[in-house]
Amino acid sequence: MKTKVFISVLAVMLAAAFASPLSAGRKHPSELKYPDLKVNVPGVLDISFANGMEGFMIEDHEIPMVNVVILFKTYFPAREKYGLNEVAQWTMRNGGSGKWPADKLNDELEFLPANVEIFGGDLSTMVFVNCLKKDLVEVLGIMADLVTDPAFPEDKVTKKKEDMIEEIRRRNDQPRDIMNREFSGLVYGDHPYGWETSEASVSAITREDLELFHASYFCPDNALIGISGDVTKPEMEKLLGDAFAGWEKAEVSIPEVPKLGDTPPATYNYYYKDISQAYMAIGHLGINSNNPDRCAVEIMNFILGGGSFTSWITTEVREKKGLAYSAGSRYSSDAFAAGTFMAFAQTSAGEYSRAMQIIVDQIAKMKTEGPTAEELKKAVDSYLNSQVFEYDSKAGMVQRLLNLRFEGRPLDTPETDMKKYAALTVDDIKAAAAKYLQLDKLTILVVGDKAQFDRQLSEFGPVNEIEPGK
Amino acid sequence: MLRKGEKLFLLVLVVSLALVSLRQVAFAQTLEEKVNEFELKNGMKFLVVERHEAPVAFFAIVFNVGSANEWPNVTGISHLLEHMMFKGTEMMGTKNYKKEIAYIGKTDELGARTIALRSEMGEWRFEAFKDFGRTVLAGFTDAEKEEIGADKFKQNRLLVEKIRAMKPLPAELTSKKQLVEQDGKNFLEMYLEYETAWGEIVRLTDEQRTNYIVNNELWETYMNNGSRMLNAGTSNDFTVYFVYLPANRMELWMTMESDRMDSPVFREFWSERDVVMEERRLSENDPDDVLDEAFNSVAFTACPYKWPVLGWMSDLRTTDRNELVEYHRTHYSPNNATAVVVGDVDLVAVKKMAKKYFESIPAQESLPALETREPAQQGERRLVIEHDASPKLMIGYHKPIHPDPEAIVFDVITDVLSGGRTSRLYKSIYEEKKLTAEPPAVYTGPGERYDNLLVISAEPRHPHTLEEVEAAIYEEIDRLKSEPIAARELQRILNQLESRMIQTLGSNLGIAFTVLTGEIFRGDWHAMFRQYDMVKEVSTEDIMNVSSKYLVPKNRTVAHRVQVKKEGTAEESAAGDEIDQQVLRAYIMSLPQEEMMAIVQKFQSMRSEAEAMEYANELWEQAKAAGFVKDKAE
Repeated sequence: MKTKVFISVLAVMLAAAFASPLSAGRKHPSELKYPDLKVNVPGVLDISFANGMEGFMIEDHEIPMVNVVILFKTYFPAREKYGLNEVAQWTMRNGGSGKWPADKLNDELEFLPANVEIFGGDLSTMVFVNCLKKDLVEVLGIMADLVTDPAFPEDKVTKKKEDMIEEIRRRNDQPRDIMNREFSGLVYGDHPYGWETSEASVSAITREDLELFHASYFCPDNALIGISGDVTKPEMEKLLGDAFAGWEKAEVSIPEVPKLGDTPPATYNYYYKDISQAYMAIGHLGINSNNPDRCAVEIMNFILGGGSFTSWITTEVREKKGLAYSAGSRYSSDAFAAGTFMAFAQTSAGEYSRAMQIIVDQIAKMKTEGPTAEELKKAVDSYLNSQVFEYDSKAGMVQRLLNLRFEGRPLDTPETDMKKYAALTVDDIKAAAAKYLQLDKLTILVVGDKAQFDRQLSEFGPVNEIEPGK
Repeated sequence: MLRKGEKLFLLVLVVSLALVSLRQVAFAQTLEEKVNEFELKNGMKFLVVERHEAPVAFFAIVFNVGSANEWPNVTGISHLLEHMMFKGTEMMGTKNYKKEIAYIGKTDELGARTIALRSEMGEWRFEAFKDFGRTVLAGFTDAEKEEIGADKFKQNRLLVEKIRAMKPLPAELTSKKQLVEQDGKNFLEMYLEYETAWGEIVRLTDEQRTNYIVNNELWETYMNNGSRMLNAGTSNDFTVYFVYLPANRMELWMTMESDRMDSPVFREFWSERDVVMEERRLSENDPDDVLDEAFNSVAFTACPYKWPVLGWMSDLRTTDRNELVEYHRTHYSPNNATAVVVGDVDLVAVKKMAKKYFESIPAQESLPALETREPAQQGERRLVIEHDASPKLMIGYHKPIHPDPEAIVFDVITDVLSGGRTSRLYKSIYEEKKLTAEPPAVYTGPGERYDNLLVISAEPRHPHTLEEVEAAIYEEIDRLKSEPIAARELQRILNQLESRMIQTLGSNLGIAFTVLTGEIFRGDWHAMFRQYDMVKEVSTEDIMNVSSKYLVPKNRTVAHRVQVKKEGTAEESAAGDEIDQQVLRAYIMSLPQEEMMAIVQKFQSMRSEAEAMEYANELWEQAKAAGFVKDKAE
């Protein structure tokens, strides 16, 4: 071993002696000058139909394919039937329609081939079509049939419910899933954003519930449509008009998402899992997308823990201390209520308290010191310079517009955001940190095996032990 | 570097591998013609595709090295190197490289010393001392803990001080024979030196950071310039570094990538090695990774796919920085690298810049080809993994690799079994028999370049068992051997290949992945353009023959992951009362002989204690229902 050490020292000395100063004519990147970028923003067309359906379209003739997305606004089911939307969305697609029973439907779509998928969350359901242009008439017909006349066959409904119950059985397998789920439950409390499916809630769902779900939301005046691909607007007006002929408007009333209360008081929470690491989540409720300080909060979080390796939390926990493979923070906004702020790390159980302290210290530092002007500039540059990627995918552009319309936000949000990022000052970030990082209301959750912890969570405060769910 | 991106990238590669192909349609022709290939004098290859839809371009460099190129003692080094490649160069990440280098020398010396000390102590002693150290740490006063905070140097210094002050040594240490001393050697002293050295490494690295290191400058520079998808990934077969940039930043990419190919500096090695060990621990807590790792280590005898990309923990903690420097020199040579550039770039400009930045990097002697081959399997292999997670099944069959024409037949078999909602396993296992809550997955793994496996994995839906799912999968496998598949099934696969290829052409990433896939896995990007014709040649007899030849018990490895909770957890103690063996035995003896025999046989056929316990619990409940168990309250 001695010899090896000696050689290693020698090798380093030799390397230093022969180190060629900035060899091969490379200049430090800060000295590079870049040519101007020419950005041709693809033209977006508005498209609307007599039955009330409306949306956006981008013609794109590079390849002979077409993408169509239709978004329907939906709403939470009763809590005792939570999971209903997922069962409905799945069965609309996988149960087929009167004209297209499941087996025939799958066989036809996969032979063409074409994709028709239906999925979503609580507040929206998306119908997604992707096919070769030559098959467009047929595929739009199939899609329209599924949307207007789903069969909801009993055996498929049962199948989906059983599968979801199995998923519930399996949901404590991965520590990361436990952390995300329990954290969300802790900060959202009884608000629907914190709801989870249970065996009882899934079992309570009936075929009639699905029919009611369909009847309540699936009508043209509740549909937002997005189109991109190898097709023209007049073609699409005709094709979709024909596909949905006879589809009538209907009264749709969608309730407002309930308001959230104040962020809950600070707590320490522990969830037992037999693992050699501790998974920790630290945070509180986030903000609404319409919050005028949203851009400042985004940049603030980018510097704190969102900007991966350049962010404070990652630098301190991972880079400097080598405590974790993954450490950082997310600060999300939500258009209807509020998102969440969550700092996280997965560390060796025997060192978790060091990581936890570092994270809390970084949050505090953002409030007391804030970033330097240089840190701010770098963060803002990274947002501004990546703006061109907004135009890389036409389907992506259409989807963004659709989401903004769905959320009731200005369609030029990406553009105005860029101006806001560019105008941010260090004081703006400090003000955002002061207002939107609530050090005295941190919900702290640790998933792991306390027998392996370096310090017990109870040393920091009273601990709420979460009963591991079955 | 980021797990998520890495997995995504590999997934896309695998998906495109299975699906990408071309018919002689105009589109295919255009792409094949659009790929421009050139080679620098040092052997570095470039593949460039111009696509001017948006002012962005995707850049990747692939090194022809992955965990399959490793050997015992250094498993995981390819992946560790990938991490270290982000630590900067002589130009990037430092305020003054020439002064900084003294720190690297000192920490290397200390690091090598920790490896030597641990080896001399032996693992059993080291573990015993470490456990003892933990109890000492736990006994620190609040004030001491406050003072230490997150500072490992201070923590270790106090730890060593406290242990040194213990006179006499506690019985915990002295009662174990030969723990503290043997043959005149004081092993406790070694342990204290070990902890001191670690504290010193941390202190020196912190000082190095404060004085010289520009933290993550390479990463940050890409980010500030608007990069997307900045990442790297290591697989069994290759290591790739990629970034999506505004197209006018090409020179930035050329500068930084040539710089780190030429003169990387593996600073902060010892703390980054901790990060990688933490990544490995993350995977030890991931039930799917745990299963995967054990499965591969049993399925392969000789092929280096038998060890995980992350490497074994014991190899990681004995790898030092010099080994990495040598591994980089030999494996990251320009003649072992291929660059791919796709997007809004000009071929002439790419060529010119590539020459300027990369051509002066010296070529290295070419690496010997990996000649180890997997010997034919001589019988079924079965394994059981116990973990606190729901049950899962994996079945793997050894299979030929491309360009063997039988490998193409396997691509078709994969699709017949699991390519979509009309595929056989989807329909029979998931939809009709409802044995699983997700359709079973079928794929090729763990790599593509050396002898590999066709893998089928599935998770039974309660109350269905692993055995039921396994048997149902074999039924479908046997059908492949006995019934010719329908012409429509084959045509469907061809139609899908064609459509996916067209889809691929509509994005820079799609094109880049296609070209890379051919280059990495087939050794020639042109291969991707021949696949459609090769699949078209596959006949129903080919499928029956290949299935009969390879999909047989003798050639397979089967893994069951069974759920086992740690003893004495809250859940278990709440779950049920203890089984009284006497009573249970009395109950079983009371049953009719056939039933009794069935129970005995079932126990004998079991492969794990967990399985047996589960069944015993079931019988205990029956015994209770039959009135054999008296209520404790009585």
